[in-house]
Order: sequence, then C-alpha cells, then structure tokens
Amino acid sequence: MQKAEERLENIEKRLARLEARMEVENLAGKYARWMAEGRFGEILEKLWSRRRDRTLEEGAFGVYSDTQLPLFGLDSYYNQRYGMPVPGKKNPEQRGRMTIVTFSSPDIAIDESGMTAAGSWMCVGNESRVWFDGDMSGLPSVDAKPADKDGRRHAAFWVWQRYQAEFIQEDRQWKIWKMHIWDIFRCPYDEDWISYAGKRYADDEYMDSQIRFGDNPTHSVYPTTEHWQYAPDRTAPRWPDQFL
Amino acid sequence: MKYLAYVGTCSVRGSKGIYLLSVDTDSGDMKTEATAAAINSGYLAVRPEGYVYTTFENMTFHGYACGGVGAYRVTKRADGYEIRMQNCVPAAGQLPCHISLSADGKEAYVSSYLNGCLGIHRIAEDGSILEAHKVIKHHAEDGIWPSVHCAVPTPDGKYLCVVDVKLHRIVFYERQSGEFDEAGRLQLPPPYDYRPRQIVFGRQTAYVVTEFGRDMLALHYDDKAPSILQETQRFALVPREFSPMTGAYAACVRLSPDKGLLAGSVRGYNLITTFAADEQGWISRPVYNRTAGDGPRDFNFTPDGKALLIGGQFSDTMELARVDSQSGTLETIASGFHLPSCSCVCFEKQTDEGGHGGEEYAESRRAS
Repeated sequence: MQKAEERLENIEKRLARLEARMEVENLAGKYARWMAEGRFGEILEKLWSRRRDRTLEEGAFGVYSDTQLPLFGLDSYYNQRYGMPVPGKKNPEQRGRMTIVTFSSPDIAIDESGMTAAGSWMCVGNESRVWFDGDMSGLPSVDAKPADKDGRRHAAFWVWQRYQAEFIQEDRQWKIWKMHIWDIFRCPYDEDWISYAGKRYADDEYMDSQIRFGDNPTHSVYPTTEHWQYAPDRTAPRWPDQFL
Repeated sequence: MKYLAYVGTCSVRGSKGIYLLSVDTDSGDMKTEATAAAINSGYLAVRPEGYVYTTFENMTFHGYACGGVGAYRVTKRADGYEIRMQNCVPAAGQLPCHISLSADGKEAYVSSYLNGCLGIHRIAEDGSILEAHKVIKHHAEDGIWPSVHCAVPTPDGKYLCVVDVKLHRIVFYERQSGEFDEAGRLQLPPPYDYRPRQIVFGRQTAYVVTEFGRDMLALHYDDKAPSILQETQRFALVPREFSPMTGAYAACVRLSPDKGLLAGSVRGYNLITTFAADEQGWISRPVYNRTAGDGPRDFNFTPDGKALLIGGQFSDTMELARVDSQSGTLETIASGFHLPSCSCVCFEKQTDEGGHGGEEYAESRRAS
C-alpha cells in the first residue's frame, strides 16, 4: 500500500504531465492560428526554442537549422516558404497570401522528466500564394490563376501533411525544439490528388519542385532525410514512431 | 567573330530555361537563337556534337527528393536553331550545381551541393544521359556538413578533382577498375568560412576561387602527379581599399583558351579580376574590372580568347567585353542584353561558318 505522501507525489506528477500535454496542445493551436495570421516572426521568437540545435524539415524542402548562423537559419524557411518579410530585403507580395494549417488526431507524450515532449498531428492545410506575372520564383505558372489587373497571379492548393515535433521546456514555457512535416499530398484545390500526382511525377513544372533554388542564395542547410508523396502506384508511408 | 553561346539560368523573372545566343564580338550584337524549357538550369556542359547537358538545380525531380540532369539535342534548321530535350534523369542529390564532362564526352560528373555527393553518369551513344552508376559521397566531419560544389577531370584524365566548399578541401579520386579511390587531397586551413568553390587546371597549376574568402589560389601540381597540390600563391579578388560588403561572394574562375589569362568574378562588388599566367602557371598583375551588370555569377572566354561573355545574375543582363590579353583589362563592347538570372555561360566550339557545327562534327567523328 502506497503511503499518502507517495500517492500525492504520484498524483502531482501525473497532473503535471496532464497539464504539460494540454500546454503542448495549446502551443500547437497557437502555432496554427499565428500561421493563419501571418505572424511568422512571432512564431520564431515566441513559439520556437532558442536552442541552436533546433531543426525544421518539411517535405522535400530539406532541413532548416541554425547551425550555420548568421548565414542560414529557420527564418529562411518562413521567408522562402511563406514570404515572411525580412528587414532590408525586397519582400514578396503579402496581399492575397493565406496559410491555414489545421491540426487533428493529436498523439502527445510527455517524457518522465516532464521537461521534453513529443507530439504528432495529422494536418490539413489550405494555402494561397501570390506572385507577379513573369516572376517564376513562386510557383510554376501551370498551377496559377491568370494574372489580375495588377499582374498578380494566385494559386490555391491543398496540403495534407503529418506534423511530428519535439518540445522542450524553457523558463517554464513549452517551446518547439524540432519539427518534421511529412508530406502526404499537395495539389491545386480544383484538381484531385490522383490526376495531379501523375503530372507531378512526370514533370517538374509543378509545385512539387517546391523551394526552387531560384537566385536566392538561402535554402535549407541539410538535405531531405526522407520524402514521400501520394502516387497511385505507391503504398502508404510508415512514419517513424514518436521520438521519445 | 561570331560565336554561339549557351546560357543556363535560374527560373526567375520570366526565364525560359536554356538560351542559345549568337554573339558577334565585332559589332557587339547578341541575339537569342533558341531557348529550351529547363527548371533552374544551374550549370551547363557542352559537347561539340550538338548536345548540351544541364543540371536542374532543384530540391525535387519528378516528385522525388533530388535534383536532375538533362541532355538536350541542338539542331540547326533552315529557319533557325532548335534545342530539344533528349532525356533527363535524377541527380544523386539535391541542388546539383555543377556538371562537367570527361575529355571523350562519354561521362558526366554532377556535383550535388546539398547532399555533398558526386554522381558519375554515362553518356550513351545517342547523346542521352544515363542515371548515375557511381556516387561518391563526402561525409560530415566535426559537425560540418559536406557540400560538393565542383568536379572536373584532371588534364591527363587520370583523376577526378572534387571541390568541397564546406569541408574546405580538394579531393582527387583515381579510377581503379571501375571504383574511385581517393588518391590525394589538399585540406585548406581554417577559417571554414573561406569556401573553395570552383577549380580550373592550367599549366602545372590549378586555380581555385574561394567564395567567401574572395581569393584566387594558385596551386602547383606536377604533371606526373597532379593529385598532389601545393598552394603557391594567393591573391585577393577585391582590392583592399574597397569597403567591406556583406553578400559579396566570389563565384567563377575561368582560364583563357591559351591559358595565358586567368579571371575570377565577385558578385556584389561586380568585379572580374584578371591575372596574367605565365608558362609555369605563376600568376601576376591583378586587374580589377567592373562589370556593367549586377552579379557576375558566371562568364566565359570566347573560343579565340579575345572577348568575355558575362552574365549579370541580378540585373538580368548579358555583357560582352573585349579582352586585352596584354594588360588584362576588359572593355565593354555591349551590355544590357536582357536575359534573366544567368547562372552559367558556355561557348560552343567554333566552326568555319562561325556557328553551330554539330551535325558536321558528328559526321566527321563518324567518318573518322
């Protein structure tokens, strides 16, 4: 029979882990909301850990890391992928952009120490990007709507992904430490993923050539570790188990 | 003189891919003869039979996480030129940034920057490129990730010389019954933000341009043992009196056809610095030439060595400059020719007609 003190301590630990789980889930919710609001700078500053070994990998974009600062960093990801403005640079068009990530099916584990956690979510996202006609640094022209009167072209597409992340406590706050976003499929909103996969695997003139090199010297620091996207002749992926 | 040049581009600001330009070094006229769709044709290699090979400097190739390599056939028709894709295959890694060919044109060496690896591709009889049959991979050391930026065969064809921009070394691989074994290396000393980027071989000397260091290194080698390099000279590509500038990186090194003039470019400062190279390969007399365009990422000598075609990556322009081989100065003949985001300039071997001679050349090769 456990002593009352031991039982109390056990309950406190379980309560703390339950609380931690809720906080991690809230952190993910905040991430989703701030993405929709285009608050990428705040995401970097307030939701991400300040550790130098923080990493972010998405699809075939490669692994972003701060190990080569000040040359590259996680800010390159938000700048290239979502057009986060960078001081002193010509920044991409912001009007007409939209980034929705909707997390569901959370699977969160808090480690014994209560200091780190791992979580995964399925995510459905909708994005619209915009760039000026004649500038292919955004998406290939095949995916875009015709130019509007100002020469701006838009593309609307689905992105279904699996988010997997590690979290760490810093100053009693949960922060994102490592994030790996696995593609499931991405395709224009008005086209199904089966027909689009056929095009994508036949040609690179589609959005799968995401984050082209362009003439922007920033890119991920490390290559893609693993990449899978839906194709009618490919079997479903088996994602790694939780990190912990 | 009239020449044909191939220009690779980054796929931005309306680029059409690979450009075939006719260039008149007397009048300064430049004209786009043909284009071919290619996404981020980062680097080109030309075979005189009428083939051009390009890297697709991308993160994905047909849905997979690697860049690509493409072979294009160039034909001359009554109504002009046509560049048509022959085939394309995946590269060994992501962001393939450099391609070179063996002297016999039967192999292509494709450097993949992000993965730190080199793919060796055979070229088929019909000019198409095959998937890499051999991959040389560099590995991370002390937390530094490798980045293979350039690979060229040594002049004797015995070794493959591979420049790793982040591991700070030049490695020689010797082909031994189908395998490539390391035969020697030159490890450049710290700091590691120096970054050797490209190499060319001259007379008993190899020249390396360093990206962040903005230096030209002269490395002596012995004809009998070219895998042993020894640094003999180092020149700054930017004059000391110039103010410091962030984002000003050296990019390209080229040697004139007679190996008497060496040139290196620096983006940001928009310089092409030339050096006189003597019979023993010693370089001297740096001359700092301003380019008309912004961002001279790549340039090349015309086959007669009397002019330079310079790509302005950020100004989206091409410039033609006359070369004074005695003084090393460049004099602009023409500038401002619109061509988006040039990343590579290659000349086709000149023919008697002053133009593309692929068919004739191929015919003569077949006959011989």
